[in-house]
Amino acid sequence: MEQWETPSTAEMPRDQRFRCALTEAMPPLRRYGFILTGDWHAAEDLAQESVLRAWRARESFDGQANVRTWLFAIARNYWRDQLRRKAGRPETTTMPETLEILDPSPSPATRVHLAEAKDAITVAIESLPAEQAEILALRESRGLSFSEIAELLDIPVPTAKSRIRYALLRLARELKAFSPENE
Amino acid sequence: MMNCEQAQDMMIAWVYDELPTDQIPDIQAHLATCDACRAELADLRAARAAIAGALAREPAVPIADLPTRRKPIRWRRILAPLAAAAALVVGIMLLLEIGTGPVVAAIGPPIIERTDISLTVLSQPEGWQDAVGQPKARLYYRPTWRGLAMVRDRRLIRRLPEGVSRISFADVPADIRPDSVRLRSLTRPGGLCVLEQNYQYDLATADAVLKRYIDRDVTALAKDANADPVTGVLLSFDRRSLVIRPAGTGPRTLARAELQSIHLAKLPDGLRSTPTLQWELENRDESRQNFEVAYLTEGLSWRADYVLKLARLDISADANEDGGIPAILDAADLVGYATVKNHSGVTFKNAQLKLLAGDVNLIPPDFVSPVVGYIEKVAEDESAEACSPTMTEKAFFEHHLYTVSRPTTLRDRETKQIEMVSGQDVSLTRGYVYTAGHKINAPRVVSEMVNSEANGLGKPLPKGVMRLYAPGPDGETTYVAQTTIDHTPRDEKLRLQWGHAFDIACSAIQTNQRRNGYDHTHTCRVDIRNHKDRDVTVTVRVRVPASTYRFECKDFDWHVREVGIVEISVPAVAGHPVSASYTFQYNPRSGGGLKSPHDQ
Repeated sequence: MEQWETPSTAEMPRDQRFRCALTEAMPPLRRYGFILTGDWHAAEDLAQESVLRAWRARESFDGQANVRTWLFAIARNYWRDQLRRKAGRPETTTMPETLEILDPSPSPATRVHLAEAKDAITVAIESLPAEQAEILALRESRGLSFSEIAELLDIPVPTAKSRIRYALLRLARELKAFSPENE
Repeated sequence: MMNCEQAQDMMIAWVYDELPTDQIPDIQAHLATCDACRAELADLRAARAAIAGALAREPAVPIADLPTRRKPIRWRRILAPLAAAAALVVGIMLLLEIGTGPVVAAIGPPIIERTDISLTVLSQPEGWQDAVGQPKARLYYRPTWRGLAMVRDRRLIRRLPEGVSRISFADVPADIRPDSVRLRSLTRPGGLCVLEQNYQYDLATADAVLKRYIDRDVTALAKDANADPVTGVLLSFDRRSLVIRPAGTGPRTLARAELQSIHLAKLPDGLRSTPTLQWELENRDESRQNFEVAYLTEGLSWRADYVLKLARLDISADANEDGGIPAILDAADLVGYATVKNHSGVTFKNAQLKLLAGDVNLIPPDFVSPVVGYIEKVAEDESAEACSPTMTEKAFFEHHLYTVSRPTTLRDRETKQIEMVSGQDVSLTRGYVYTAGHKINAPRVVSEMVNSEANGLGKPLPKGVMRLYAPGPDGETTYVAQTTIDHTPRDEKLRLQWGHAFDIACSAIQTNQRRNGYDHTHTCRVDIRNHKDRDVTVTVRVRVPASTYRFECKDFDWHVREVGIVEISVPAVAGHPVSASYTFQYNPRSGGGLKSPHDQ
C-alpha cells in the first residue's frame, strides 16, 4: 500500500484514489492560499490550479512523498510564479464583483459573506511580505511543526520561529491600526 | 533568570503549543516582571486568534454537479515545454478514459475576469439629430443619433466545466444591439461553442412585476390609513387602475394613485435587476479560456471640440504690400479635444478607447449597421501604440481613427474630454465678408487658416465645435465666439466664422434693372462705412444667377468664387465711406460661363 492510501481507498483504481486524495486536500489548500494571499477568491483559484496541475502530472508522482506534501509544493510553486509575474507586469483589471455566474452560482449569502470577509485581518494578511506569508501559511493552515517547516524550507529552526514571530507581530500591529478604539 | 530574547523564542513556541510543559513556569516568571514580553505574548495570541477567526469564515464553496453525461473524456495530448522546472507541473497528458468528470471541473464555480476592453466610438453623422442620452419616447423628425460604439470585451474564464454550462454578463449596456453580439474563444477558436445566446432585458419594473401577477393574489394598501387592505386575485391593470377580485365578492377597481403599495408574495422569476447577456456554451476544451465578446451598443458618442486661443492680434500691421491695405494676421494656439459621452448605462473601466472620425454611412436603427465589418479590420494592429501623445491618429478606410494611448475609464453618464490635436503659433488671416442683400448690415468676421505643417498644424481635424478665446484689453483671455468646422483634411484651408463686425456698416441697394427678352441686367451698389481705427478690406460677396455671363465692377478687383458667387475686394479706409457699384447680366436661355477677369 502506497503512503497516500487509506484502507478505504485501497481497493479503488489508482486514478480514482488520486482523485480522492486531491479532493480531500482542497480545504486545507484553500486555507493555505488564503493565508498566502489574504483573499478567498485567490485562494480558491490557487487551490483549483494546484489540483489541476497535480492531476495532470499524476503520472510523474512516484508515491515516495506524501501526496499532500507534493500538492502543497505545487501550490507553492504556482504562487511564486504568480508573484513573479505580478512583479513583472502591471495588474490586469479584474472585476469579479460585476459579474454574475449563474451555473453554478454562489448564493447571495456567500457573496455577502465574501464582502464581509474583507475585514481587518484579510487586509493585514494581504500586507504581509511573501516570505512571512509563506511560512505562516505552512504553520497555520497545515499545522506543520517548526522543525517540519524548517526542513521543508531548508532553513534553521530558529529562523523559522523568528519569521513566524515577525509575521504574527506584524499582523497584530496591522489589526491594532484597524481597530476603532485606536482612531 | 532568562532574558527577553530567550523569552521571545519560548513564547512563539508556547503560542503554538510546542513549549515543553516544564518550561512554562520559567516563562511565566519572566512575564511577571517584563511588561514588554507580556504585551508581545498578548499580540501573538491576538494575531493567532484573528487568523483562526478568518479561516473559520471561509465561504462555503458550492460543489458543482458532476457532468451528468458519463461519456469518456479525451485528454488532449500536450507537448510538455522543455523547461525542466515546468516538467513537474505540466507532466504528460495521456489519452485516458475515466468514468467521471475531470477532477477540477467538479470543484467550485467558474470565475470570469475582464482582462481588456476596447471601445470604438463613432461620431454623430451629418444630418442626424443628436439624441444621445435622451429618452426614447420622444418623436423626432430626422434620423436620431443615439450614439454607436463597437465594444470588444475580453475576459478570462477559469474553471469552465467541460460540457454545457451557462454564463452571463450583467455589466452590459442597456442599449446594446442584441443582434450584434458575438462570442468567440481566443484560446482556441472552436473550443467554445455557443449553443444559445439570450439578452434579458425584462427589468423588474412595477408593471413587469404586476403583469406576472395577473390571476394571482395581491394585496393593495390604500394611502388612507383607515381603509382596509384589499386582498384578491389581480384581474387586470393599466396605468391608472387595478382590478382585483377579493375572495367571495365581485371584482373591485382601485385607482393606482390612491394606493400606497401593492404587496406580492415574491418576486416572479425571470425578471432581472440589470440587463443581462446570457450564453449557453459547450466547452470542449480547457477549463481556462480567454474569450472575447464583441457587440454594438448605443449610448456612446463623441465629437471634437476645439479651443482656438488668439495669442497675438493683428501682428501684420506694418507688413504693407504694394501700398494696398494689409491683411489682418493673428497668431493663435489651437487645442482639439475629443468629448466622449457615455449614456450607455454601464461604466467602462480602463478601456482602450478609439474614436472614429468621418461621416460613416449609417442606416437608421432597425437595420443592421454596416459598421461592424469596417471595424473588424482595424483590430489587427492595435497593439503597438506610442505612449507619449494622449492620442494617436491613423487613416482608416476613408476615415480617421483616433486611439487613446492610455486606458481610460468611462463612467456612466459621464462626459469626458481627451486632448486630440494641438498646434501652436498657428497663423490666421482675419477678413470681413459682406453678403450683398444680407439682412444683417454688417460683414461677417472670417478667419482663414491653412491646416498645414508649416502653419503649426497639418493634422486631420474631425468635425466639431471650435471656440475662440482672445486676450482682452486687460490681458485676460476672454471667450469670444464659437463656430463649427467640418472634417478638414491636411493642407486644406479652414474658414472660421466668428459672427459680425461691430464697427463696419454695410448696405446694398439695387440701382437699375433692365430686361430685353430673356436677357436681364442688374446694377447694384454696396456702401461700406468703416468706423474702425484702421483700414480694412471688406470682401463683398454677390450672389448671381448661374446663367450670368457678364459681371462688371469698374473700381475694384473681383473674382468668381464659385458658380453663382462673385467676390469683390473693397478697401475701406477708416472714417471714409466707400461705395462699390457692380453690374451683372444673365440670360436663362443662353447665359452662364462667367469667369474671373484674370481667367479671361
